[in-house]
Amino acid sequence: MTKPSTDLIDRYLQAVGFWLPRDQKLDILAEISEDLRSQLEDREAELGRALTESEVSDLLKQRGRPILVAGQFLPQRSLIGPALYPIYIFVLKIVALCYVIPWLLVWFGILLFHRTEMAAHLAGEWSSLGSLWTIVFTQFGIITLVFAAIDRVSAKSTGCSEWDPRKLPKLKLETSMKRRCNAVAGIVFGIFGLLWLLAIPNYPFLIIGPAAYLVKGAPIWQTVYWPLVALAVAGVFEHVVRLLRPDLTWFPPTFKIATTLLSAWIVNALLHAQSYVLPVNSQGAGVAAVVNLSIQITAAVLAVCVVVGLVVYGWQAFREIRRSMQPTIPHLA
Amino acid sequence: MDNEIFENLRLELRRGSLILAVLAQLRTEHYGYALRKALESHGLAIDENTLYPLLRRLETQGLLVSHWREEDKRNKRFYRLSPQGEITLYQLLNEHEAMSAAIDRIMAPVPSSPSATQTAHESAALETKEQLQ
Repeated sequence: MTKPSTDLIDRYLQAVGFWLPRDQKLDILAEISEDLRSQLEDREAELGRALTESEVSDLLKQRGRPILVAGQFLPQRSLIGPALYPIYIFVLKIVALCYVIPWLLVWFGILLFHRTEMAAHLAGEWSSLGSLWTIVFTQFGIITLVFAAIDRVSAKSTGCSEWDPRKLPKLKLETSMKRRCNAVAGIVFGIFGLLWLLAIPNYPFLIIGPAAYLVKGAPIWQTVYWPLVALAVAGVFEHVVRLLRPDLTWFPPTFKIATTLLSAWIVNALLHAQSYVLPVNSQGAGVAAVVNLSIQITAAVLAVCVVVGLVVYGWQAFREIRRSMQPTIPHLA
Repeated sequence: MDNEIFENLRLELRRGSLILAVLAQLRTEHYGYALRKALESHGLAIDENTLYPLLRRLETQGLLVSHWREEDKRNKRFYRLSPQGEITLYQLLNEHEAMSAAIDRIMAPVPSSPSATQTAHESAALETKEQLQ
């Protein structure tokens, strides 16, 4: 009759063997078996009696789960090694940034700015979102496979270790002088822009040139004019704060979120307007149609930009606020 | 959290030392279980799930040689250092001694005079750099 300890050990070895590569299986199992039996004998010699099934079970438990024990004998497997991993992540980010995020933003933009037609469009939008995920996963799979293949090939060559530190790009340092110059330029151009905007109601040719004699502004501009002036004032104010308090790194993105929300309101109003200019005489009808179409297209593009801006400034604000809460890291010499 | 960080660092520190200990112990022939016992008797307990894969890796790298032999009516796999393993062990021991000496110097009580402190640090840093090179 089989001893309970032998039976348990054999079952344990069988379970370990299940996970081992075939060519090394017998060799590894023989070694583990020998070690187990030596340990068992030592323990029995200490106690002066045979171990019970429960004691053998405890001993095996101490060794660990069969899959984990077998895993220790397998080569460490990673699809993409540490040398290529940062590049792999970088490429995935680029793909996400250039393809997935714009796609999603356009999708959300359409939903946001065309709420009235949302129900009609929703079914179609969902199906297109489904196809987006299929494309995303395919791209992710292809990129991963390509990098895995490069990793296998490069592991056998020494090309990766040959590099010249002198060819590294120069440090990008934004000097305080450059920051100040940018802020001053922002204030000067912001004030010019504000004056231009304030002059438009009396001098409409400033915005549409000679067409001002053929068309006039539609009522929508009365609704969005003062919010536009407020935006211009906010732009100047932001640059003044940048100039006087460059240490408030969280301020520009946070403030931009507020101004972008105001922009979103303006763009939304523009998108829902029937027309932007009206003809003042029979000659102006054609010009009005062209101007209306141009503004409609511009507003649609702006809608996408506003959504992108909200995401970017939201992320920047989050990052700066988090950074301002962390202890200061001394600059490298 | 702190304990987890310590545990990870301890494992990192231990990993290299274990290789050195195994190579050193295998200057004389041992089979797995006897090697484990020998290391344990010197105060360096090693888990069997760590030891056996390590022995195989070192053998694949050509630092150990092994063969099966019957002893006490049981087949056992005996390991010992290969000629390449002996050279590597010698190199690793030198490296270990240099590192250990550098750490001792870094941890030594610093003199009170600021200029003396600076000189001691500079000299220790220079020596460490030379040894690491």
